[in-house]
Amino acid sequence: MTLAQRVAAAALTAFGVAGIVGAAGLPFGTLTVPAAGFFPLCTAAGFTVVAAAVLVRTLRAPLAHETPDDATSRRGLVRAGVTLAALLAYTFVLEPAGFGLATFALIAFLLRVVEPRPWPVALGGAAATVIATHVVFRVWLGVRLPAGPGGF
Amino acid sequence: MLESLAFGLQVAVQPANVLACFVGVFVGTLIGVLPGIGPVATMSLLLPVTFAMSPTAAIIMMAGIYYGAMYGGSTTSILVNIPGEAASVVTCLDGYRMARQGRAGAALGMAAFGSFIAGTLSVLGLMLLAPPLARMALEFGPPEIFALLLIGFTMVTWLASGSRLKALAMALLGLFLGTIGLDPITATPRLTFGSLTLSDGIGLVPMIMGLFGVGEVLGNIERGLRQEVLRPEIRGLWPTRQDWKDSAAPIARGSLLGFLLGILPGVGAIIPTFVSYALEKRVSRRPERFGSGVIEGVAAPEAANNAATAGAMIPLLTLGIAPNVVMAVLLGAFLIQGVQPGPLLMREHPDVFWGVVASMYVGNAMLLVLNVPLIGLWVQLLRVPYAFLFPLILLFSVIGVYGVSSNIWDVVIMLVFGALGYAMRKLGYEPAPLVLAFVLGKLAEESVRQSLLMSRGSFAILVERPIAAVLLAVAVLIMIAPALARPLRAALASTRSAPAG
Repeated sequence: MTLAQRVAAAALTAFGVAGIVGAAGLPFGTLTVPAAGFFPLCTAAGFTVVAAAVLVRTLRAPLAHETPDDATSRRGLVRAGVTLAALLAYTFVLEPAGFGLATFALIAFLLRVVEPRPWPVALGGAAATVIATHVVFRVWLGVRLPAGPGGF
Repeated sequence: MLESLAFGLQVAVQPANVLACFVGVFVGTLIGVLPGIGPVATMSLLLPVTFAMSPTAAIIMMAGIYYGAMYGGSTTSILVNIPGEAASVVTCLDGYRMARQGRAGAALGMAAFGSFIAGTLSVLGLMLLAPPLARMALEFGPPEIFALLLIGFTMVTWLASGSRLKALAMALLGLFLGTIGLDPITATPRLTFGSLTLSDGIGLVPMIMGLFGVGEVLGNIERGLRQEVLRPEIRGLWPTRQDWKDSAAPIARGSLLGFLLGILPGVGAIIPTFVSYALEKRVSRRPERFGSGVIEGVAAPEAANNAATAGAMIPLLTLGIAPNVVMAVLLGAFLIQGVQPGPLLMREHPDVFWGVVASMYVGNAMLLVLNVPLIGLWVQLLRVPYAFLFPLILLFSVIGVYGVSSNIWDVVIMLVFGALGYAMRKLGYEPAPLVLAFVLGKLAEESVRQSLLMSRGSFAILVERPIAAVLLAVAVLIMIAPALARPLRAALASTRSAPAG
């Protein structure tokens, strides 16, 4: 059992407890006439009990030591984390910067940093993606995408 | 029946529906061929596209992606030894061996023909079984529906590939997350923290796209997905007479098994492939040949996974219950279109029901025509590096979610579920029970609350009504089956190991 699994089980249990607290603030009603809080409270309580059982199981199992594979996995984890962070940043700059500019930056970043390709490939790929998605989504499918400075 | 099928064919051959079917099976085959993206992720990505389509065309396209992916999945299994689809894992065992022996053409050809035959037979089964089942389901009230949903939840948990406890936790989490938003009966806001985005509840599209689309891509980026494509000489796609002789019975058995297992909640298309392979090995006169490149080892599982797709449509179309996660996405597509699948579907939307059923014949024929001559193209596609695919998949996910609501927070929700889906895969938590429970949660809540209202607060209503009692007994049996099986196996083992005499 890894430390990450213990942390995950603990986080799930904590989320379940938070769910119970949140659901307890809603009207429960009675068994004859269940109200809005009935089902959330029942499911949150059930989830917390099962998550706690998973936590107990992970705590009982011996903690595994790190292997060379874990170091490789850590590099992969960083790649995945960087990708997610880039997507989150893209989401928040999408409206102020506009679809074209934000998408160009995102694709160039992913092609250059996450799965490293030469600069010309990264920039060319980004430009091609922006043009193709603009044509397909904006022009063809009529999807409303945010326009930035210059209307692009 | 024939009259209804003729009506369905009339609907299915309308130009818009033929186009939807073609796009569905083509995209399905494409993503089946490409490892790293499956039908669930693709269907989720395309959910927003269906908004502008008619309900019939939308469901035809979505269903086409599912069974198209089953066809395409075999190509990578045979040529790369990487299953394009989880349901094609078993095909690797003999398919890749056949390719190494220079029989890639025969393996690909039999996978395509076997899939076609199984797909066609199972649609026939769907046509025969769905109407009486829908008639029976009309007798169902809230207690029966709740008991039926319990079967679905327990099956999903019981058949989880990892820990059952974790699967149960995910199912309960899905039910809990499904309660966020307005109460379906009193419209009281629940757990929304004053957010307008959350007052409509967590969107199905951002959740599914996050868990299956973004989560899967992040996992592939972490692993550094690489594939080496075997360059076999692909010739002789039309199987020989001996190939047909060897494959006829396995295709028939695989079709029947896949169809029947596909109906069961929680089974999906993966388990039937393993069961059918094991069955072929058992009935074979030379079981030791399996795994060395026998055509039966390709024909049977490929037939089984295609037949299972039609089988899985039965609970969805007749009872309104998604038996697996792909059907949960399809259920989402139905609901987005304002069509409630279930016993009344055939009566209220005969064009959708019979149009979709008939389109599966059209789609299977299209797939046969597409797959055999386009195998060369699929092989070329397999050589596209994942580095160029993943940015596009991520971008389409963002556009897909943003395009629906023009709300940045829906994209954030998708990313949160993307991170969650990625973490869940890494830590051995399956996303499928979560999504299934989330999709069915509202129905479960309504049915349990209505049951309690009907019975004046007594849960005994679940055992007092015969159909509900039987369904509940099945759910309980599924729940306690593992606990019962363990001492039974131990007793059998001790009997065998006991000294004779």
